[in-house]
Amino acid sequence: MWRYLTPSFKQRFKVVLFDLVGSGRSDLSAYDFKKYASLQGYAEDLIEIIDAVSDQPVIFIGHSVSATIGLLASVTAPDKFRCQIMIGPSPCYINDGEYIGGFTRDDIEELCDTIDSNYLGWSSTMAPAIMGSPEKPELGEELTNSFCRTDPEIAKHFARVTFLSDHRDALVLSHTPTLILQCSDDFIAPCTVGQYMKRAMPKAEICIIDNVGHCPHLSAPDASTQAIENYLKNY
Amino acid sequence: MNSTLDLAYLFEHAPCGLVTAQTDGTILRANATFCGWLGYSLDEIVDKRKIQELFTIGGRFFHHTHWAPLLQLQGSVSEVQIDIKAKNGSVLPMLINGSRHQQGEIRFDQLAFFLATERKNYERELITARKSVEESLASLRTTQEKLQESRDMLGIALRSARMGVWSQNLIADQIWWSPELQQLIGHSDNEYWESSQAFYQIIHPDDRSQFIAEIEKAIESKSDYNVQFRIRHKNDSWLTMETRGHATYTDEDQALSIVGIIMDISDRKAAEEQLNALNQQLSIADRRKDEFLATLGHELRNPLAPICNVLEIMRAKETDDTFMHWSRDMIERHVSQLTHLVDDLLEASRISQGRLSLRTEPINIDDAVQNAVESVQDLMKSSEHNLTVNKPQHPIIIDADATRITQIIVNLLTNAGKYTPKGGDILLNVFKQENQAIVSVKDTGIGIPAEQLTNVFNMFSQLTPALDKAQGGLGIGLSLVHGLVKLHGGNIVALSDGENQGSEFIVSLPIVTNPQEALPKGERAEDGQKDPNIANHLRILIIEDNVDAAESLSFLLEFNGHTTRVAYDGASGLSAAEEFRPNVVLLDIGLPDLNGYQVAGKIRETSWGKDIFLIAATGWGQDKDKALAQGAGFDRHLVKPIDYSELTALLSIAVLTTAND
Repeated sequence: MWRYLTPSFKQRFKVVLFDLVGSGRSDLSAYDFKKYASLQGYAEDLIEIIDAVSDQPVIFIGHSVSATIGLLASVTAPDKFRCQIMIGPSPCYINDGEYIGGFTRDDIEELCDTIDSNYLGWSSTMAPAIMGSPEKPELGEELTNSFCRTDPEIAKHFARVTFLSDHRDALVLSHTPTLILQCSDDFIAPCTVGQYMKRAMPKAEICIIDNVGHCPHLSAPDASTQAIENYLKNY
Repeated sequence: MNSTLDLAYLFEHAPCGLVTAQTDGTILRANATFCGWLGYSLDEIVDKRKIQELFTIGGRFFHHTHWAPLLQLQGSVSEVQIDIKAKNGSVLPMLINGSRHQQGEIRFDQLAFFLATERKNYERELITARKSVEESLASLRTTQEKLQESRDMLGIALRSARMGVWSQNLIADQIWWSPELQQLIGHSDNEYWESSQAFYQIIHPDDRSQFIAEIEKAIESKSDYNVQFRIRHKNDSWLTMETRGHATYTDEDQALSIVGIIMDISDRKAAEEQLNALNQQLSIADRRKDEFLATLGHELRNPLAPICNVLEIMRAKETDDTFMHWSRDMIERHVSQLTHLVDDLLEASRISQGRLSLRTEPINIDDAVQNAVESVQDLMKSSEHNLTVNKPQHPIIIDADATRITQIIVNLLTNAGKYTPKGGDILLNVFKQENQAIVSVKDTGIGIPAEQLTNVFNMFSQLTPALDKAQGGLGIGLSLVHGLVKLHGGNIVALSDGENQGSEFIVSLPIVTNPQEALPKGERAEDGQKDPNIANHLRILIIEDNVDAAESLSFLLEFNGHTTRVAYDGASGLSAAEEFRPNVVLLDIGLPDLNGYQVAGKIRETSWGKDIFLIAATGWGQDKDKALAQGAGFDRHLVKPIDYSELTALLSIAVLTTAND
């Protein structure tokens, strides 16, 4: 997931990578449906991790829903954050009046239904994909671990919690310096969302990366690294 | 067909959808198969739509998160499953293979779409099947958990009730003990119970054969077994056990196994034994109490007899001395009261010892009522009570001992009189209700508190407040009434609205349906008492070791015109009889040398003694004594101390028999 970005930063920073509980190589048995019924549950975990790995404020880089988790943590514990880099973030996926999250509620319902009924599709279509790329097996494995939630119940729960969340209120509360890395064509987090966030957050800058898709750190790693490097010069 | 046409045709109508797209997804080319499946014309999509825009939302997410990065990273994706929306809105499940190509500066993706409706359906079925398996597993797990839970609960219940379960496989002769049973008996290894023989070895030898027999009986009769037996605990102590259960059978009625519970009843057994011992002690104490009361009554009564006799003599000797009159009356009153008390005590204790028997005959209850009312006249007068008597219009005949019925009514009226303050109202109602004669005595007295109503008939249960009053007593009277009513097959209840609300005692006695011989017997009884003077001149020998009793009775009889002789033991009694040749011998049974039966026997053996009227005087008045008396040749039997009027009644019979000579 982060293999293209880490080499550039490893030399100057201590880089800590982690999987959200319930995904990747985390301990699935630690998944508490009550705790993780809100992203705040993950935010608490993040604060614990920061406490465990550093006694100084950190630079937090989060992608997509993890960016939102970082946002919530920075509101709860602003002293632990030097700044945050939000890649393809969205505080709310559902359109609401003038706010354009990119999806109608029906879209999200349909998405959740797809996940519910397509457990096999979401979790196992990756296997053939890996086989289709024998020359880079480690890459496929990495993607599988990152994306595939091996427990369908957790996958369903996580999708609902993520796509139905609305944390726009938290934006104004986060005084942590923030860089929003916005893709020029992101179906999941459209530009309108990036613009909205920049306006709402007291200390946010936005950098638009020319990229189709939701994962610029994978599909446009150089541009992403450059944008982050530029931003970090000031911090 | 030339090869160019062939290739174009093959492209357009390949058995899969083929699309060429820019790396951002913009569609550059699509074959007819693809357009046909989706319902789009080429114009509608080429250069106008990105391929991912044709996906469902879920598909678009997947494209974004998986497909696009993968294609970028590894240059190909294969068998990606994505749903595509056709122009008419229907959803087509697709499997997609894609690869990225570069020609010069241009990079583009080639995509092949395969309809995966069938596969999707299979998958759906698979998911459904998986779900149902998961649900079954979950439900199985829940069931197992519940089963375990109830097993645990049962185990707790069994352990705390000191029970266990056992079974015996009759085919393989194997015995199984539940863990609770193993724990109870202390054997966790199966050496003591794996076979029936091993099991029998730890059953107490005295109980073994019965245990085996009971089980076999239950198997044979297909019934439940219930056996108590002792079993040896591992620590060599004996536990008393009870086992219950039954056998199971095949369809062909072959016994398969024995199942049942075994419970440790050692504690229960010990408690039972203790209770039995206590009960025994209690009943011994109770019997001793009854015996004590009987002896006490008897001992009190003996000195009363001579006093009564002397009083009779004093009454006969008219005197003008007013002081003597006053003294005699006072002694008479108190002796009478004392006699009553002692009589009641004796009779109540006889009833509780089961020694009192009734002389029942059909009687008109009215007579008893009449007698009773007369007896209490004085008491009513002195207490200034108003006694109202409501008698039945038609005679009510009951099968009863007339004296006892009178006694019952007298006691109830006396009781009412005693416990009603001066000038009270006492109401005696006698009536018939269905097949019962009802005698009700109601007063305006001190009443009975509700909590006392049930035990007012127990001896010594007299209300404590009553003890404060001059009329206080031991409650012997009501206890006697209760006993007498019960002996008559009747019932008695006490009613009261509470203290100072008065009381009502209601006696119900069964009515005789066919009262035929009532009147003749009544007449005959009266005959005997009508004119006692007929029996005026008899020769009477009194053999009695109580000198005072003998002499005072002798005086009284002489005073009434008889000739008497007194002897104080059996031997002198016998010689007196031979010499005196009496008409009547009044013979005490308890003599110092010979007993009364022996004396009677000897008299009857003589030539002159065959027709003598022999009256036995016994202290106890038991049926046994009466039977013995009859067997020894006595004509009649009296209970000591002798009631003079009873004696005169007997003497009148003696006159009749001697007159016949």
